[in-house]
Amino acid sequence: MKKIKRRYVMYPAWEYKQEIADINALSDKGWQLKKGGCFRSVFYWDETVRYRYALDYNNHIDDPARYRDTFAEQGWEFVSDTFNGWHFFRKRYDPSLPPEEYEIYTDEQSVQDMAGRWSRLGYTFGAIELAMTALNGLMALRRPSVTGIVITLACLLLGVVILTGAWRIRHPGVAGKPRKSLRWCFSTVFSLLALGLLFGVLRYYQSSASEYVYDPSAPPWTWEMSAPLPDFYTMDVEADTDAMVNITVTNKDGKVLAEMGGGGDLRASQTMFLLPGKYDVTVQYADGTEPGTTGYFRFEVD
Amino acid sequence: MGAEPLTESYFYILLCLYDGPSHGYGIMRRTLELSGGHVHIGSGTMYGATGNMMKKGWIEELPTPDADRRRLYRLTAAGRRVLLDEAERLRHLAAAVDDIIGGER
Repeated sequence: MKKIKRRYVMYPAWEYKQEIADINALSDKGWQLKKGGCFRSVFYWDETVRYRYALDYNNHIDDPARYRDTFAEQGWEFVSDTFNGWHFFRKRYDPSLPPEEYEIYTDEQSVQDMAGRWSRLGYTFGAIELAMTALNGLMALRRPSVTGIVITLACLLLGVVILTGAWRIRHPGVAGKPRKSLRWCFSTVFSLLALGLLFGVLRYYQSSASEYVYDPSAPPWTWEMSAPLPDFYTMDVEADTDAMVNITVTNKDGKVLAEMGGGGDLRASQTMFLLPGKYDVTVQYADGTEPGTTGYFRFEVD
Repeated sequence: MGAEPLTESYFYILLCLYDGPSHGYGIMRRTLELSGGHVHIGSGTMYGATGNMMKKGWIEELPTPDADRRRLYRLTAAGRRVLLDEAERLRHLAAAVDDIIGGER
């Protein structure tokens, strides 16, 4: 039974040459690529052969049979392809043959044609992704949250990196001086997305608080609320009262963090950044208001 | 004259088909010989170039026996015209080089 190794590495499209160099190095060590993938590659152990691999990007192959036959004519064996148009080929390595024997694109025009196919996709995807991020960011501004900010930053980074990559694949830099890899950006993006989502889930289950006070006693009176996580909290106040009142949110040191006021049919909303802890929501008469309050107050914090 | 100069790969593919039909590997080997080992046409380049030239109507694919996976191509009348126009353009270039530079290397 063949020894199998799975390798979980993601290469950006514009760093496909590095991916091939790494796969060739593994082949020299005895690990032969069985299935290439965008996130996961599978290798089997065979130290009796050495291969040189090639990676082609072609997402619109007019004639798949002719495509593979053209490669087979020059000794390229098809290995696998990916859902998004990458095709892996290999050829037995013979050190006596010139390096061109292991190149599938051999003139500048065809190199640019291949790069252009991915570049167009990258520019389109990057632009759509950034437009959606901008829209999402604008919506998040209306109701800010740590989760929203973190996810917006991750999407912004992803869009910028993809646009950079769409340019880089056509401008690979001077031979011998490769551009600095952007692979780290993807782990950063995924980490930020995971952190943002995790924080959002924790926040969803821990932070909602609401209080109804019917026929309240005469102010001043205080309702204590807690913030379980550091985040932006929005307090919506809905009240029906016959007096003009001020509503303040203070921390335990007495520092005022938010202030609202009104009377009659009161609808108010205030967003504030709170560190974890207890906070006081205090209802007081506004200046000049006669004592005597009936009706109800409803506070909702989210 | 042709609309624009051909790339070396396109030119050699057409040139290799001038004498008669040939398959991709044959074109690649002959191109290496004709160019003194300077021009190698890789499989990706060959697939793209032959596909584009078939779309333009410069070459066409001939049927081959099912067991033979090699693809056989033939020059069309339009492809022959493009090749001859390009050859004429290159002759003019070479003549200009001879006039000015002569045999100096």
